[in-house]
Amino acid sequence: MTEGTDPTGIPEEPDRAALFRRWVMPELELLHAMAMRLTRNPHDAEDLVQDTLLKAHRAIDRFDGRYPRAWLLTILRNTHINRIRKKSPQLAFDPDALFGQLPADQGRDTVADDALDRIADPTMVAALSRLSAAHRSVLALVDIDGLSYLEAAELLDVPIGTVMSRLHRARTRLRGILERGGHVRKGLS
Amino acid sequence: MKLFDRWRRPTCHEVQRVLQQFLDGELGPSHADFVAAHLAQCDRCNIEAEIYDRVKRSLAAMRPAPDAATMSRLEAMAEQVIADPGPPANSGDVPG
Repeated sequence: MTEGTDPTGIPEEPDRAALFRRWVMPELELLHAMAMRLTRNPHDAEDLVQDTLLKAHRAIDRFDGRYPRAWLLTILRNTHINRIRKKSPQLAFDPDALFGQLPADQGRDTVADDALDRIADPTMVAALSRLSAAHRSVLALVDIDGLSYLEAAELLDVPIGTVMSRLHRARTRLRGILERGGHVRKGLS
Repeated sequence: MKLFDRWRRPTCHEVQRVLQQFLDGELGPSHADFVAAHLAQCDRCNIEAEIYDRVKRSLAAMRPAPDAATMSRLEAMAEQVIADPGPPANSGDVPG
């Protein structure tokens, strides 16, 4: 018998705590960022994270340890969907509309693109606003929030191939808009 | 998935097809080595990679900075869940 396991094989609290610390606690910032995208409200976002943490803790002994971020993001999304269904059963969950929301302009870029070694935020916000919600959502999740293809697929509830094709089309369109505005150089395509 | 023949150098067209996966770190290491080698010697493909990398870096810079007070509250919340997880509940939202 290994330490922390009772004769029934069900992990005791110390093991659950250890698993929770290993797989869940490093992702608090990510969970909060995604909860903010879903709820657009700091108080609701923290409530959603709390519910997600409780569910993850209760289920952690059944989790196989593969792709913990994707597992957590699925719990977060499902929890959010059930909460909005309870509040407003007539509301449909539209992940593209939620994740594709543009970030507030923080007004932090007042210098030229070249001085920043990147393209200034207001330029990027203006270019993103010209894309469809489906294209914006996949760019927001992968390029702004740093999710993997698999994690974005879990949150959007689409196949990973759909994430890859949408991402490709979204970047091609975004690059075209930026190129016409003179913000990136002209390349092959 | 077979992306290109590993026994010969990939063409520009083949590299362009997987360039975004390469920049996202989503291409397997054996294919990534071929793409990196191609970019090192092909100016045209390298310019493409630089353009997409600049767009990607510009988007990443839009990520909101974590707020220290919020992070402290979340960490305290997580410790509270460990200390007192409450009664078992409906696990319908949990995959698997």
